[in-house]
Amino acid sequence: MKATLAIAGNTVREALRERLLYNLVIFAVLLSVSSLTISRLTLGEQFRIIADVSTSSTQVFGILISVFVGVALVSREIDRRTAYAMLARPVSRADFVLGKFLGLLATAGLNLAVMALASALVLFLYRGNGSFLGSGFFVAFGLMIAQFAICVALAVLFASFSTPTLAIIFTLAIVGAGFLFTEVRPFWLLSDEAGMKPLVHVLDFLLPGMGLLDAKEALTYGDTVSLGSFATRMAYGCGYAGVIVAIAAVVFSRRDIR
Amino acid sequence: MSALQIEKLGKTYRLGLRMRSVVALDALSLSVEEGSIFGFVGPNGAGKSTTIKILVGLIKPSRGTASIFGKPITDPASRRVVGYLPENPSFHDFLRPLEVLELLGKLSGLAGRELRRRAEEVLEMVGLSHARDLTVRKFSKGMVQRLGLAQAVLHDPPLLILDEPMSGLDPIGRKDARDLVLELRRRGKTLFFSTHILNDVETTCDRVGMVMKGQLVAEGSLGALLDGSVKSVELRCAPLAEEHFAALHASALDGSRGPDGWVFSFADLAGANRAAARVLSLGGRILSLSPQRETLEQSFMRLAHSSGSAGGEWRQASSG
Repeated sequence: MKATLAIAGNTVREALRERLLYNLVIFAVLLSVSSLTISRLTLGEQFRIIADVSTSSTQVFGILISVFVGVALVSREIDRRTAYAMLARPVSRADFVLGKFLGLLATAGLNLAVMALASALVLFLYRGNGSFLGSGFFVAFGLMIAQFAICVALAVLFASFSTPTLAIIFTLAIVGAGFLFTEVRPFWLLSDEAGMKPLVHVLDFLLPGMGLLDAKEALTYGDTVSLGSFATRMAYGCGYAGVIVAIAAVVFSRRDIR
Repeated sequence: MSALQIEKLGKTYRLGLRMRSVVALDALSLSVEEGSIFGFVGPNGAGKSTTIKILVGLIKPSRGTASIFGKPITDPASRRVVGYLPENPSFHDFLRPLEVLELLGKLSGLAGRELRRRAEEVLEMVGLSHARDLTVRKFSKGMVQRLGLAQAVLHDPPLLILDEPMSGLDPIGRKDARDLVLELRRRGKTLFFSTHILNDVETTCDRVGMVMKGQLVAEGSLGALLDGSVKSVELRCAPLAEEHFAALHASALDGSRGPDGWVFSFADLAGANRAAARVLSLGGRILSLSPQRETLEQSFMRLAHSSGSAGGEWRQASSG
């Protein structure tokens, strides 16, 4: 475990030097701040616009950071041969993959904290008080870490056996399919077409249920989310990411580091 | 116990969409005794780095087995007793050398004060103490190579596997690296290193394995590899009157006029002695008279062209 944590710590350090990460975080924060102005275009729904823009920008940029930085930091270890000296030590490939995943997840968590703080500041500036800091706020931003965990896990998986460009394409495609599937799933289940229902059940297992982990409305509309629902959804996200990381460890263990 | 035991190790790559088979290593077997320095030589692309990467777990073998101090290489714990220097090593360039060593030391099970002490010690050993505040990004190629050597010896492993350790070093760096290799042997370490620079082998190794096109063509002690017989005798003398050159050249295999004297090559010592006596009788001065034996390079070329002709202690490797 010490080796895994050492690799994770070094990954955080390396990720925090990525210029792309800062560009995206700054852009997300600026978008949240600009929602104060954008919201003036509506009447009576200003809070909803601010909350929508803040949570959406955090989610979109958080996913982009997880995917791009995740793929870059795993691929680079092989391309620049920095992994050689690490993997030639008494460290299993699974330790290495888990270390990279944990380091990238910690980085995504730090980014999320910064962006959530910026969002809270913007909402506070609008409201003039902290009444929005209910369970909806914490559930909306809290579940995003599960989404980022899935993105990071997929990025690590694809980067462990393919080129960086393909890994980014594969990861974004699966994450996008996960969001879209949540939208079409109810309609496909109602369909009379033969084979549609079994297909839905197969896709339930294969694709990440990104929609299940999307609780932005909880903040926007002030919906109450039970602790049980939050814990179940969080467990699903962590479980899905865990399975992907385990597959990544198996795939990477079979790879020749030439 | 052998420090390193390799049995019929093989690697076949499948390349391209048509999965074309390329044999990188074929039935390589050898043994490295504890406390010895084993030179693994061969031309570029012969399979040296593939063998080494298999030994340290970077590449999976297609066939065969290998063990380090009795532990199979498939067990990551076998690497606890190995220090590995990759060919053209590379480290995270935003780290300082001590940070690199601390990261890699943690992966080898070192921690706390012991790790800090060892990191400082090996940094001093490879002559990088002056660069402790620089990030690796600002290092020259030679400095990175020195850092590579430092991380290989960091956890004081009994076996060092070095892939082209002298590569990228200037003459001073090469001498330092050679001295380090000999010092490590004095401390009882076993060294297995690959190179295509034969002078490195001649000056440091006890035993040599020669690999070509993925096959071990010869393996044994350095003395057994080199044919010890005198191939020719070289006579160097101060220049005489010009008319004597042709007379001396006629009795020699070869002759030339160099900036610091005449040089003649004779088939045997008797012929060289007769020529030396003649030079002296003409009032000339002998600068040197030296028998020429086969060099490792000549032996390498001989074996490269005809691996079946190697005799003595040298054995022909099985190629099945």
